[in-house]
Amino acid sequence: MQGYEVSIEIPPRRGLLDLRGNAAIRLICNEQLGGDLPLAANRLACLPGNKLAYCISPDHWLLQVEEGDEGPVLRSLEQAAGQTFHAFTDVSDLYAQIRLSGPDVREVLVQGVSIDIHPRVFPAGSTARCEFAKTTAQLTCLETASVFEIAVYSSYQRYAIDWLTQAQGR
Amino acid sequence: MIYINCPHCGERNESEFVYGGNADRPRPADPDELSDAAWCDYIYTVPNIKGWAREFWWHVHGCNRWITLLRDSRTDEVQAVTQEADRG
Amino acid sequence: MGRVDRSRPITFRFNGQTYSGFVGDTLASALLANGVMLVGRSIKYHRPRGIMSAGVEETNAIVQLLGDEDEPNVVATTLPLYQGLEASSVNGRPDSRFDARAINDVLHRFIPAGFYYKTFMWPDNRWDWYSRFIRRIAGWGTAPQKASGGRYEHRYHHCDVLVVGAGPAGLAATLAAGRAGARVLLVDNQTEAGGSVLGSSAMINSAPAMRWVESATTELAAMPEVVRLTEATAVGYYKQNFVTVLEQRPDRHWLRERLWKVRARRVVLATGAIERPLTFPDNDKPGVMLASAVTTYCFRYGVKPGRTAVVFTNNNRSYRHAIEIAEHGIHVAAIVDLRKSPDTGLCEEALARGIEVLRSSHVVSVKGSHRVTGVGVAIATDKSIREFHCDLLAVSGGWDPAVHLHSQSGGKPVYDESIASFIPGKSVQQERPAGACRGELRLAKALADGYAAGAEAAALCGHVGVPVESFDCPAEPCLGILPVWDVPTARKAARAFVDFNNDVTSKDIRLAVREGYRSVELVKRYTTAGMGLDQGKSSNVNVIGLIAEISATPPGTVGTTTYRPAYSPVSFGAMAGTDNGQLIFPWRRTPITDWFIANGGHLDETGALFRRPLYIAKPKETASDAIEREALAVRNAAGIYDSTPLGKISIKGPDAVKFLNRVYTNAWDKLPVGRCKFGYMLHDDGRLLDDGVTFRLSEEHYVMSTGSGVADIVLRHLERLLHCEWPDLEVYLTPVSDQFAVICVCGPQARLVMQQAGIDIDISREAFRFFDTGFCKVAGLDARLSRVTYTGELSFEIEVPSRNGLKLWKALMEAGADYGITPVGSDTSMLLRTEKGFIAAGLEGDGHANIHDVGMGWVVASDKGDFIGKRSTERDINAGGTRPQVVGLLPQDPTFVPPKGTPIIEPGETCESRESIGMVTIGFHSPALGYPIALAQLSDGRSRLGDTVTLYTGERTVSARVCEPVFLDPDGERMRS
Repeated sequence: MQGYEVSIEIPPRRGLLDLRGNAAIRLICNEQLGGDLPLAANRLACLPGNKLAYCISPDHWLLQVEEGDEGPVLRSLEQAAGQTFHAFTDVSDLYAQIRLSGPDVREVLVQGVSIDIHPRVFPAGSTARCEFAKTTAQLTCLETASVFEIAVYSSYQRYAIDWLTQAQGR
Repeated sequence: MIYINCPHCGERNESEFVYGGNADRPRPADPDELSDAAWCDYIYTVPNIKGWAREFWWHVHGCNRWITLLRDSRTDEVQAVTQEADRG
Repeated sequence: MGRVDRSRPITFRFNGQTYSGFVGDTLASALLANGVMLVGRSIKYHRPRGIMSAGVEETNAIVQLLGDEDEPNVVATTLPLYQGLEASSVNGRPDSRFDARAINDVLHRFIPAGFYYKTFMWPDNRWDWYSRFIRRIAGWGTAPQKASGGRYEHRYHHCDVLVVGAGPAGLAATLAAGRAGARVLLVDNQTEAGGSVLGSSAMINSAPAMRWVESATTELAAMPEVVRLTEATAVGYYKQNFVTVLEQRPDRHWLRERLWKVRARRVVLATGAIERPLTFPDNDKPGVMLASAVTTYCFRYGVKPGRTAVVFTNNNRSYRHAIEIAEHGIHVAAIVDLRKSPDTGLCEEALARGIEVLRSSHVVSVKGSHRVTGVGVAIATDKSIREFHCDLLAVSGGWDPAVHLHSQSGGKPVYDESIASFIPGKSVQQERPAGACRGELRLAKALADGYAAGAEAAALCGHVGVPVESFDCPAEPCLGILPVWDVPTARKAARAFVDFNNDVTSKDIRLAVREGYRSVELVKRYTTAGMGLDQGKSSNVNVIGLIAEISATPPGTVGTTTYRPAYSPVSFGAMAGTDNGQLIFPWRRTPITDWFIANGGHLDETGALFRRPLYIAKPKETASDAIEREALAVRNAAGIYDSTPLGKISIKGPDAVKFLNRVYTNAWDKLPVGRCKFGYMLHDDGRLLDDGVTFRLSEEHYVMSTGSGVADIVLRHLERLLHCEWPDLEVYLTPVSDQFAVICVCGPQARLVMQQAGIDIDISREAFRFFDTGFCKVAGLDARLSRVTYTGELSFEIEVPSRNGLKLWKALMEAGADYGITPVGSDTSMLLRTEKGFIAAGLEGDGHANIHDVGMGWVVASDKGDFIGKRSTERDINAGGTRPQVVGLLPQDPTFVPPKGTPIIEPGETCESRESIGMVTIGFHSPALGYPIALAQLSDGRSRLGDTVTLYTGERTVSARVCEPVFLDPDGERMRS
């Protein structure tokens, strides 16, 4: 058969918050979320309540929550942060997720991802904000080595799917 | 395609970054103090240094931070003296 | 015999004839097996040419592939034969045996170096005229007429060690690095590993060398972290060990070519060495072949390229080749050696096989026209001439290490006397040459060197513990080369070719040096030596040697040219990869894009990678009719516009106001929550960067909207200031452009449309004023509503999370149906803003205009301290002089719509004088007014209101009256209504 063995799908919608703030804000968030926001860029942490925290840089995180939770979580964090300098923003519609799975997933991704995603250096649980097919993506390797999620700015979603479909070569 | 060792993300392709100019030319604190000629010099005389220079780069496709790095314009060698450009 | 698979025959066609070959053949080896030596004509003189080499350095056997995937300039010596292959000579019409343009060969004395430069420039730069004819004569192959159906892929790859070349040194290096556990990529441009030993009788560890090669590749195949590519050429070596590798015919059958973009921590260059020819009269005749190529055809392909050979050499290595050729049943009549005292052991070996050795001798003549039939040899010791019958002249002028990638990496090759050629100099990048590439031509040493290089590279990447390995090979004498750069000849008319590919002779090089060219770079460009398809792989060192000899300087001082990518030709398909058609760049969509496509929207790229509808045409409607209809709907009823592409930046923090004051020209301290205002953003050189509206949503939260085309530029500008100039400001910027869809309803009926759609706040003129913003529900959706306009009409801008964009659009379309709601494209929007005289960045606000020039001086706060662009604006005023100022123009001919860029001249000036005093920035026929209008930059325009000027169209002149740059509703009653 022609092409790479990969399936491309759009995962269920989730809530997403963009969190900016210094060490004090991080501590406030940690307490509020019941788990630690990761401190180093391109690290991923699972937090209680089915939340995922991606560290973009030491004062910048994306917090993924279940759909519909973004409002309540945002309000509780805002309340806790109070007057301490911070910026919390609902970005649930800013990004769009695409899920790739299958044995050839890396064969497809290496066509557009310039960072090293070899299983030795990018195993399950890895994440990176990086260049992807001339745009920006949050690239995450999920539990098993052959499932990836890519979050792109939502106006690029269709392009990204078209691009991946082309890269798949079917 | 030079390789830039971002202090947050590690080595990344140049195409993930946007060049932000020479880092040793802060904007004059009080532009009104400068003569027209001196102001023009600041605005239009862009340094084009042969050799090592400190530069601002924006890691737009990565950590989204502005970093300062030392680059040799003759060889494009990038030194790992990559320091946060901002408050950290 | 050989490594071809004789159980798998293949038929193919060349120049219209059908032949047969085998799997494992190249086109060249199959042609030779079929007795075809003549494969084309030379580019300039149309001399008959034959297969010269067995590799990538081939200068003559360049063919055009025919059929579905036609392709010009394919090298026959590296093209694997396949069933149904059809090819023809690229040069030589009507056929290569009889070429009408061979007359050029007779006229050769009139076509010296630099001939094109000297001749066709006269009279008066007639090159364009001449070139039409020259191109027809001088071309290489024919460009394909249709797009390739094949798939070309790009891929990134990372590894610890990249090894280039799978000859003995490269294989040994890969073994060492692989055994250490490093991630290794081994690339080789051949169809199988082995490099030089594929075509030789060499021995390694007391067994045929190929047995060692096979065991090495078997061991490598079992290493999961070693990737080995065949038919993969490292073509470019860029900064920080970024190497591009062109892989042809990858193992995935649906791929035609694949371009690997490799980032390697260490690179081992085991690229081998290329044999170079000798420069002597008629050295280009079919049947003259590199000595190593003859043995390669014998050993690797089981083909005898001739029956009787003479070997002409200046070094010891050719003796081994001569013996191997003889062992394959080709009669070797003589070894003609330029040297006085070759290695005695080799001489004895040759003599023992009945090969005569002629010392201090050289070939003076080559007989035959379409094929060598014999040679004349001058013997220095007794000044006699001897004739030999032969159909093959195997030549060797020495060995040139393939230093190309080293040079590309930034290294400077240095001259090595012991091999009379260039070897890699000091490594500039994380790179190390190994084996023949660094001049180590003896097998045992090349293997050991490669193994050490691989172990070292792995160790530098943290992989240590490579087992010791030794390589045992029969002793080889040193090269013992006598460099002879131009074999002497007594014949005045004789021509000795240096660059076969571009038909450059030793005389051309001599002429160039005589005319004053000394630098090898200039000689190359003047004579075109080394500039052909082969990029001088076999000619560069001969050119350098010749320049050195003529100018009496050492070759090392002459130096090499700088080798640049690509090492060998790269197809356009491989460069483009899969990024073409709709995917040539990212195409962004708004939630409404699909609706526009389905409803007659004419989409075009309008900045920031969005494609927006210029207008939304009804069936059979013309563009201008659609724009007129849309514009009238906005002025008389209601329009609906997708503003989603506008940039949106959320600004939060206690210093947000301070920040806005510094980046905008106006003052922001007094803007209340729930209000917005227009801001003008300058570069620090005083030129317009962007204009837009910024909303205050809460005490410390603002949202800035930017032009769609400059959204990224504005963000970069603001982030840079914040991080690099004012790190003390407590402000965070979050780009939220794609979070929201923004839809604008505008026109006198807009309020009714909104109410019909359903809105839960009072939007009367008094309750929701112009420049108010607030949260509400529209059509049942959570939204932020604002009263801002770009059309000058009563307008409501509704922002919803992008998932609800299309829902909102459809609800508003339905609600507005009874009010004549009309979707509006960006061309119409441009017309509407022109009627209102709203300034557009990039048109009126170009790289010359300052804020006063565009009539926006009122947006400058003079009492708030410094802001970006302030000092430069003041300097403009201090400098005085006339300024290009924005004005309106009313053409006096009601049928004339001045196009963008129309020059303005003084009345009374003729077109010929062409003294422009300004330029039209945009012009339209205004449907609301019924006459043409335009905006323009006019020198001192503000002082010329009421004057008449002249528009110069190229064919005629049209008078126009200068007016205020606003044509409709000058007091803004409509937008405030």
